Amino acid sequence: MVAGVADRWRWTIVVAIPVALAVVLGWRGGLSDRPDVVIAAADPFTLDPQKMSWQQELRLGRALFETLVRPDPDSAMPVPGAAESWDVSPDGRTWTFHLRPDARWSDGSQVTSGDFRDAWMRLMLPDMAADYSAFALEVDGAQAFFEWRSKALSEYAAAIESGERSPSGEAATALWEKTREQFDERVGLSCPDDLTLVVRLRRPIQYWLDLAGFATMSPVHRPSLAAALSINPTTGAVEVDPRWTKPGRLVSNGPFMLTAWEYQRRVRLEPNPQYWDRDRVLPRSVETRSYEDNNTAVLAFESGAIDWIADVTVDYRADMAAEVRAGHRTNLHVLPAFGTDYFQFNCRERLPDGRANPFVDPRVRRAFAMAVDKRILVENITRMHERVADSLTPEGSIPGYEPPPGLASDPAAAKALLAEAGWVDRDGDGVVQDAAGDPFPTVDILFSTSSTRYGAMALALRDMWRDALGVQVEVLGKDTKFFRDDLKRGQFLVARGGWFGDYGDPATFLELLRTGDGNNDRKYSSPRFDALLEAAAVEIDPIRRLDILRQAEALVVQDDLPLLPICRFVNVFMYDPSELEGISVHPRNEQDLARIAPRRPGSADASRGLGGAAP
Amino acid sequence: MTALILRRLAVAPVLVLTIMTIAFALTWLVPGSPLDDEGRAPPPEVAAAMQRQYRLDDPLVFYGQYLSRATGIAWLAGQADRPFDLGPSLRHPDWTVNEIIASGLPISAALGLLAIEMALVLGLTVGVLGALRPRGAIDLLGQAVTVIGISVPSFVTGAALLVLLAAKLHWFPVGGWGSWRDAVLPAFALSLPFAAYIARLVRFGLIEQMASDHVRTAMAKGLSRRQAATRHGLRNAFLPVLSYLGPATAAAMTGSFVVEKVFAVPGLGRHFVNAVLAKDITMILGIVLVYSSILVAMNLVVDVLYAAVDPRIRST
Repeated sequence: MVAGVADRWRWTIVVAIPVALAVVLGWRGGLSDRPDVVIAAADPFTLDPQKMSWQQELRLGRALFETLVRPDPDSAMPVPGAAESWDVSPDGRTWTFHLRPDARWSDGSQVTSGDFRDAWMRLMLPDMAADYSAFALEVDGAQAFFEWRSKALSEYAAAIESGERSPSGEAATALWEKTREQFDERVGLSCPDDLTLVVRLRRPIQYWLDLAGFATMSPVHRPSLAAALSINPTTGAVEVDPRWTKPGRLVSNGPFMLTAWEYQRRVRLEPNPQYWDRDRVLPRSVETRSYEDNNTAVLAFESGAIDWIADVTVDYRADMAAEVRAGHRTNLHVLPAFGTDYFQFNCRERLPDGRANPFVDPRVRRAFAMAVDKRILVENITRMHERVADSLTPEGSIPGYEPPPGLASDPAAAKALLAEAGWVDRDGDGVVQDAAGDPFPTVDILFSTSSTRYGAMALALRDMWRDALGVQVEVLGKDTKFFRDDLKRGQFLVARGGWFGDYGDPATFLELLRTGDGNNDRKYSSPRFDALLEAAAVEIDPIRRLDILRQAEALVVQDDLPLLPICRFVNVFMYDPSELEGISVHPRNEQDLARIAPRRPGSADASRGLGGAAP
Repeated sequence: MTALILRRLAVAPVLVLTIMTIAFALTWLVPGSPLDDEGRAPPPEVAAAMQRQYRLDDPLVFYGQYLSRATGIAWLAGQADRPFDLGPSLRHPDWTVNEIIASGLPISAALGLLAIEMALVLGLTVGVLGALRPRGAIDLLGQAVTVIGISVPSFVTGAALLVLLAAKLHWFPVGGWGSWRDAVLPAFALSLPFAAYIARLVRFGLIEQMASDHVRTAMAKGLSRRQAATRHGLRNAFLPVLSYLGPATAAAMTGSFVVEKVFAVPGLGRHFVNAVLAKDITMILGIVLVYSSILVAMNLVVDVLYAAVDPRIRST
């Protein structure tokens, strides 16, 4: 019996210790109350406004910070933000912004023009590595400053590497002071007083307000940034202590302030009591939660734990979309987005492995484009019934711009065009050959296996091209890293691609095809296209300018076809319009978290947020 | 036994360093850079500055600096302001690897321990019940369930539990991590394969023990079959379970990725897999360091426990 008692004790210990440990380790304060609005969205990579790049970050950036102007969610047109008014010079290059005297940081201090100047300077520093530096580089002298700083940094690092100079804080600080002087001297940003910001652009930009209102152009609270800033004595680069974006340290000037951020778990926002327009902030608390498995997010939505899934990606979403079209479901919203899904042709003379590239001939690219029936792709393959696209720029999303019609599907004409390019089936084996009798090389359709969407599309394209053109086609799925590597090296004939626009102008899409652009993976290079973009860049008359851009787009979607537009992307949201209001259904997807809130009984605006069904 | 522990402790760092070096070499060979993401391509000047800042231009320099910071050598030499600095995450620049491990490890550890706990309770119950009446109805049912438990992957059981108990019956919340109720389903899903394995170990061990002389003597003295089993048979039948518990605990604490993903638990397993996909070298190395340390430590703990339970091992 003694042994029995001891045994029992031993079992109690075996059971009790891990439970106690688990409790101590796992729960040091959980999620307390249910926030007003819970959004399922990916965790942000960063909350440093100048470093943001992803949808979920930019959305939070807009909630935490306020730019000079901000886009109206329903029209995407700029409305006054931190600036109450602005003037523009007749040459369209000098913009003077007048800041609101009552604009405040969440610590109560005044938002000043210097806060904008210093924030934008951060975008112009190569050592900040901002993804969205391009907008700030439109300021006069910014490009030259960026290049000066790059050169100075690499010289500094080289001197230390060669042993010419030893790493020292003083030398690094001196370089930083020099950099500030250079910035004041070269860059067209000035602050005549605390409430006036004068911006001199390098060229007239009609859509400048769109750029100035982009979330990365937010101001920065200078005292808290200064406290986190250090200069690396070995590289001379400025580095920011990453902890400065954490709750309690991040000072913001937007409708919200950050009250919690737990890695890959949740971000919590609460109204900023110092915000000048605090009355327009509807929810008392907003939380974004990270659900890695989208199916779990859908189940959590159905259980009432989530109010809005900002991106529904589950495999069965096409079935839910069909239920919406049949009128059996009202909480899924398939909305056209400001982006185009496409496949792209390699335009290099040869592949990296030395093979000749038949797609260097625009007629071959046109033939491949015309052989595709895009309707089948969106109705039977993706089954999301996206809007079929024959142009790069989405229709109806940029005021005053209607994209060119593009090429219609015509398999017979495609076959003839391929023959005109010299590819004819000369020996009757069903495969086309060139004049020397060499068959058309096997076309591998390269795609990333990160989503099932592109594998299915590639298979359908393979069949269409085989049947219509008599070429050998195979599909080639690769893991994302390998896919991107092949893309950058140009090791492909046909590859999947896609692009979302950043601002309300066709240039946001067309720049993608400019010679030398960092995102021109196809290495398409047309002097005529580049010249049209140049001409549009200096054109002051808005109507003429859009006309030039339309010519440029026509050139690429009707004649040269460096890429084959398939369809418009869609934003797929899940929310119950009778429960939640304020979500914008505009393609630009400029969401304003300040107006998204539970619908209260007798709400004045019943139509707002009532998203449409599939396009 | 002290000698055994000392010897194992001396080998442990070498073992961990070897694992980390292999992990580093494999990661480095994967194409792409942690600094480029799916989005816009940075200008070449920016890419160069980033490469310099993180020392990604030279694997030996990078790994050397990493190790000296991670081990605290740089701190001892006065080159760093804190020891055991695993650096910033290259993909999540707002977080240091130390912060991420500090947030994810307790969650994964709690989940793993709870799962092992449940596995023990479930496994012992099913195993003992089965062994009391081999080939009886309860035993056959138990055997069938354990085969399913071992062979069905946890993303299936996890999703099924989620749909049934959380989404349909609303007994538990659907995913997340905040209250104890959030932990029940993921811990249960994670525990099933372990429970099944333990049940089988206990059943076979106990059936064998029930036929042994000392158990039969106990029953001859008047103990019921159940009393004899729990008081005399189980003690020996539990030994194989004990040796299994070490690697099982390590596996439950480090291998919960799928369950964490399905139940939206912000644990280390999820962070690890995402780090590998993004080639976030500092994150990968940091988590490999933690995981290999847990594995080595758990094996050591089991050896010590084994010695404590079985006196024959103590002398060797």
